[in-house]
Amino acid sequence: MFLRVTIPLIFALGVFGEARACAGFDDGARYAFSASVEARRVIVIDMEEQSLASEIRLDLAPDLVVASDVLKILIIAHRSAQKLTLIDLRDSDLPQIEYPLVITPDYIDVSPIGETVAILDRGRGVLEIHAIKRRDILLHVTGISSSADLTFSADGSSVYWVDDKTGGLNSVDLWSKRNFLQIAEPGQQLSAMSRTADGLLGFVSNADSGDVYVINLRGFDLIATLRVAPNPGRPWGTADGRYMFIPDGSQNTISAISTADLRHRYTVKVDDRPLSIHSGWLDTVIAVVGASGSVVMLDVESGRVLASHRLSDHPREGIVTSDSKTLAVPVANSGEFVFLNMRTQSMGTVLQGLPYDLGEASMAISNNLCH
Amino acid sequence: MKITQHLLLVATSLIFTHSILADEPIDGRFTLVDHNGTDVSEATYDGKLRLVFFGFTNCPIICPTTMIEVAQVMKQLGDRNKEVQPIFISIDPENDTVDVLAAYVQAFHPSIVGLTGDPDEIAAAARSFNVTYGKTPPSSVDEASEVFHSSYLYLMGRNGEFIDVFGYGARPAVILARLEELLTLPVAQAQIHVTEAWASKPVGTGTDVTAAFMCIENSGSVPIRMVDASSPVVKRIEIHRIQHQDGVVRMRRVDSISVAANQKVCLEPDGLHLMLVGLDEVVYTESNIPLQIKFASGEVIQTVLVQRSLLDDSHQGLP
Repeated sequence: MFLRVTIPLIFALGVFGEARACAGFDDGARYAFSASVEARRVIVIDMEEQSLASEIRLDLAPDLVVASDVLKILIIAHRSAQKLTLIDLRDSDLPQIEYPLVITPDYIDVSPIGETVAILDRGRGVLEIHAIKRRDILLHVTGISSSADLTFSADGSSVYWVDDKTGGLNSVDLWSKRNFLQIAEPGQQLSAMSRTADGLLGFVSNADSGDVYVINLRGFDLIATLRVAPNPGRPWGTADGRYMFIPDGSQNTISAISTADLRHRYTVKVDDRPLSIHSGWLDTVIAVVGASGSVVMLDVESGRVLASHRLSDHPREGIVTSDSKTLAVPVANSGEFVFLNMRTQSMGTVLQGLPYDLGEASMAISNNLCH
Repeated sequence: MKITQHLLLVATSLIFTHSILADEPIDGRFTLVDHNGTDVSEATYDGKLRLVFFGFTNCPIICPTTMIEVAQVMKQLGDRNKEVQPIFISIDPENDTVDVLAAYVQAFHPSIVGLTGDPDEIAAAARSFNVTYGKTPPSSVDEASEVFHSSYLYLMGRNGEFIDVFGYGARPAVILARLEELLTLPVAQAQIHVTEAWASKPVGTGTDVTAAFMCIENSGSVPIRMVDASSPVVKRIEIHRIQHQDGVVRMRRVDSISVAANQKVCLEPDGLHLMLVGLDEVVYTESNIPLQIKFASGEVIQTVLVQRSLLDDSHQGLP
C-alpha cells in the first residue's frame, strides 16, 4: 500500500523563481536534485516532505547535477556548451550564474569537503579541480584515459581514477603529487574505485578477470585480490564502512565483502541486473535496485531478503538520506520519483507527472559515502 | 581468493565487528562509566531528552564534526539545555579511558558526558541502539588498526525511549528545531498503579530471603521503568528474572522493569520478581511488609506486600 501523488501542474510550477513556499533549498540533507535533458529542467525534491519542492528551468540541457552544502550551490554541467551553471540555493530567486570552461564536463563531482569540484573531459583526457568560489583552477592534469568515474578521497585532497589502457589505479592530490598502482592487465575493463567511508580502503572491480582489488589508500598498495563473482561491477559500500557489495550483472547477484577481514560473506541472487546498491536504516538494510525496476531489500548482516518491490519502469540511480531512513529513486519513462522506507522496507509516496527522462538523483549530503 | 602478503596481517590481528540485524528494536539501554568514573545507566538521565552518539576520540572527521554540531545546539538552547543531555559513547575502550574521554567531551561543551566501559558493556550498549562498529586490520606493518562505526545521532526521550535519528551532516538548526518541538510539549505524566502485591512467606526462621510479586499498571501516555525498591524491614531488594534455558532454570538480576504506556506487567513466581534479602525479625511475625517502589521518573509508590504461602495457588483478592 503506497501513496501516489500526481503533479499535473509541474511545468506550470516550474517558471524559475516562482511558486516556492520556502526561502531556499540549501539544506543539503533535505533536498535532492534530478535533471531532465529533454525538458531542460532540474527538479528539486523535498526528501522530508516527499514532495516536489520546485523545478529549475535552464537555457541549456543539464547533463549532470551535483550540489555543495558548503557553498550552498547547485552545479549543473552542460557538455556541449562546455560550461557549468551555478545556482545559489540560499536565494529564493535561485539566481543562475554561468561558469565557462575550456574543457568538456563529461563527469563532475563535488569533493566531500564541498569546496572543490573535479571535472573530467574524457575526450581530451583532462582532469581539472576547480575552487568554484574563487573561480580558480587548482589542478590541471592531462593524459587521463578513463571511461569510469572519478572518486574523491575522504578529505577531498586527492582524486582517484582507473586507467583503461594501463590497467592501473591513479591518484593525484591538490599539490600535483601523482601515484600509480598497477592492479590489472592493460586494457581490462575496470570499474571506478569505491572507498570505505573513512577513505582507507579502495575497491576496484575487474569485469574481465572477475577480480576485485582492495587497495590500501594510505600507502597506495594492493593488499588483496578477491574473487566473489565472475563479472563484478562497481562496488557499493555501507555508510558505516563495514561491508562492500559487489554487483554482477551477468549473474544478477550481489556479493558482500566484510571490510574487517576482507572475507566474502554471502552472495544473493536478485531479481534483475543490479543498477545500484543503497545502504539504509542505520546501515542494517541495503536496497538493490535492478535495471529493469526491481527493488530487493536485504538484511546487511545475513543477506536475508526482507522485501521485494517493483517500480513501474526503468530506474535511475537513487539516493538515501543521510539519516538512512529514505531511499528515493527516479524512474525514467514513467516520469516518477519513488520513495521507499528503509526502516520498514516498504514503498512510500510515488510522485508522478515528472519529466520522462529524469537522471540520477543527487544530494549534497547523503548516505552514499563510498563513491 | 588471492590475498597478498599484507593481508596476512589480518590473520594475526585482533579484529572485531559488531553487527545488528535489520529488525532489531532500539531499546537505548546501557550500563557504563561516565567521564568522572561514575557508574551510569540510561536511567541516570531520566527526565531529560538525550542526544546520543557512538564514536571514538581518535576519530578524525565524523565524531568531532558531530560533537561540534551538538555543542552548537546546546549553546543555542540557552537555559533550556538543562533539559537535554548529550551523551558520547566510546566504541574504542582500549584508547578511550575515563581521563581521555573527560578531556575530549569537555573540549566541545561542558554538558556533554562521555561514557565508556568494558568491551562487552559497550557491545551491549551499541546493540541496544542498533549501532554497528568494528575494527579493521592494519593495512601494513607500521599502521594501526582503524575503528569504523555508524555515524548517526540518536534523539531519545525523557524516559530513554527512541524518538528519532539524525544523519551525519544534519544541520544544528534541524536538530535544534526538533528538540525545541519536544521541549515545548508538556512533560507526559505516567499514571502508575501497583496491585496484587504479595510476598512469599518465609519457610521457618532459618532463611532471611524471600520473593515478592505484584502487577504494575501504567495507564499514562509514556513508558515507565521501575528501577528500585526498598523496605524498612528488608536490608536489600533486587529485581530478578527466572529464565528457562536448555532445560535449566536460571535466575538473573536485572536493572529495571519497563512498562509501556497503557500496559501492565505482572511479577510472578516463574518470571520477574523482587528478591528480598536480609529480612527483619518482624517479617516473621507480621503479615504485611511495607514497600517503596521507585521509578526512573523519580516517582515513588508506596504499597504493602501481603505475606502468603507460595504453595497456596490462589492469591485472588489480595490488595
